[in-house]
Amino acid sequence: MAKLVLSSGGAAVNAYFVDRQRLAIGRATGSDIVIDDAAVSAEHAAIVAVGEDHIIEDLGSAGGTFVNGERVERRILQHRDVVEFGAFSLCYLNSKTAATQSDFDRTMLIAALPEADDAGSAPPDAAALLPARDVAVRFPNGYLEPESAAGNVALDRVVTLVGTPGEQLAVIARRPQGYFLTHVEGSQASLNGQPTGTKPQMLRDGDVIEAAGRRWQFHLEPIGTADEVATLT
Amino acid sequence: MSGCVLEVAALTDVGRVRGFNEDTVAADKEAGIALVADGMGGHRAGAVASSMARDILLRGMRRRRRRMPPARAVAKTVDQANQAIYRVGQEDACCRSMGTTLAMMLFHDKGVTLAHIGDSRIYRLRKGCLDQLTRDDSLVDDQVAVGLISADQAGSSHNRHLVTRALGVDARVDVHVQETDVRPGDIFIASSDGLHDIVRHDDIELIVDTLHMNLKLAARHLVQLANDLGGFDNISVALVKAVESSPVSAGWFARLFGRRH
Repeated sequence: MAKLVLSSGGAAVNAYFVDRQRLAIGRATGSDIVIDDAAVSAEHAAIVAVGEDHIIEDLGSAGGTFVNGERVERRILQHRDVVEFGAFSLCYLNSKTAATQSDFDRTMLIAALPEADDAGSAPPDAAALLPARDVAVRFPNGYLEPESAAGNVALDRVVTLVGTPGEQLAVIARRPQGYFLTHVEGSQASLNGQPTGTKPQMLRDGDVIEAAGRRWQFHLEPIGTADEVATLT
Repeated sequence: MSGCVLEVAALTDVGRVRGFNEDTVAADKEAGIALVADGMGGHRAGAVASSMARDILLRGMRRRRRRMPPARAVAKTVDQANQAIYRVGQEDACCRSMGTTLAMMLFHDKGVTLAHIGDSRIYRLRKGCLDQLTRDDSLVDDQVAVGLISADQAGSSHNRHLVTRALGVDARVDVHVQETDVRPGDIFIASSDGLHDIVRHDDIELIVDTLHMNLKLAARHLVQLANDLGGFDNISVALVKAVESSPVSAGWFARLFGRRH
């Protein structure tokens, strides 16, 4: 179960389990979490539980609600998030979501939100906006230098084609462990003078690729300078 | 859709975190059917549910396809699969409360009938542009729909794995069925959340568009990218491409679907 630890000046003063649908936070004595601080409004914020999420919501407080220093209206709390209330801070701890994703991620059934009963039949505009999960993976940086033409070919996307469709076509996949050349269709392109075969071939710096009468030299930037971190949000 | 032939590819992979695969996929070019099912339930019951769904749906659709309008064939067969999975879930202690998501496409001479339930999805790539044709039955989608969270916060929700509907968990099921047109060159994509939860929309679009001439390779690259980005879940994809038929193969659909439509 998720827990909230209230502290002041670095010392914990109280702890609460997030064991109900809604927890009211404020200076008012009827609040579930009473914070006696002049900077805190009587009804300052609330934490609402939806499925596995705990969403903090500012209730139009005078001072605003700050999560990890950032002012928010509404925010899904993450393990170890800190919410500030005047001289107090409230730390959100959720061992379940902090545990290994493996079991936590298993698909499970839950009741729909009553107001959204027509989910699935409505147009998919909201769903289309859903970003994929946050992932940080390091990809290498490489490019193709054409032998007898100007202009390098950037290899900054997950797949890049080389050659001519229908005739001789191969694809270069950009993966965390490097770049891979794979035959797509037509006759096989060549890698350093040899046919590519049907299996993916890992490219090394300086490799020469020939497809549909054109030649390129592959360049791989040394690891360490390739410090681009693709954060997929 | 008349005058088109289909190319198909389907691939499922355990991913890099799970011990076993509870997804199933199928792509039957002759029958014009492709589907993805993502099973759930204790122990390995999820795999039982998704395998049952695949087998019953393939068999039922092949049999009913010619006998009744597509939407009815889909509704009847999905209902049959639902009841069968539900019954086993009730009778067999180790399969209690098992269920499965479903994303299924049935191609016919008037277009394609799409059926989905849960958080497996169907997309369409048309002229290089990828559109999501289904809306997830998931708590995250509900949260966005009712304004509890914004769409850009959905990625930080812990509810991504919580579906609000599934096949086989109740005696009755409401499946979303829709009809849409099919144009030559269109590629329809069914996927489980192990793919679309981790691979960006733009990258799915890029990979399928780039490798449209080799669907097997497109499927491999999609699954590979999901694994490269962590492979947190089982990963499944089924691809179906409508290709304008040459004179030789014209009438393929007429042969396939008989004279009823």
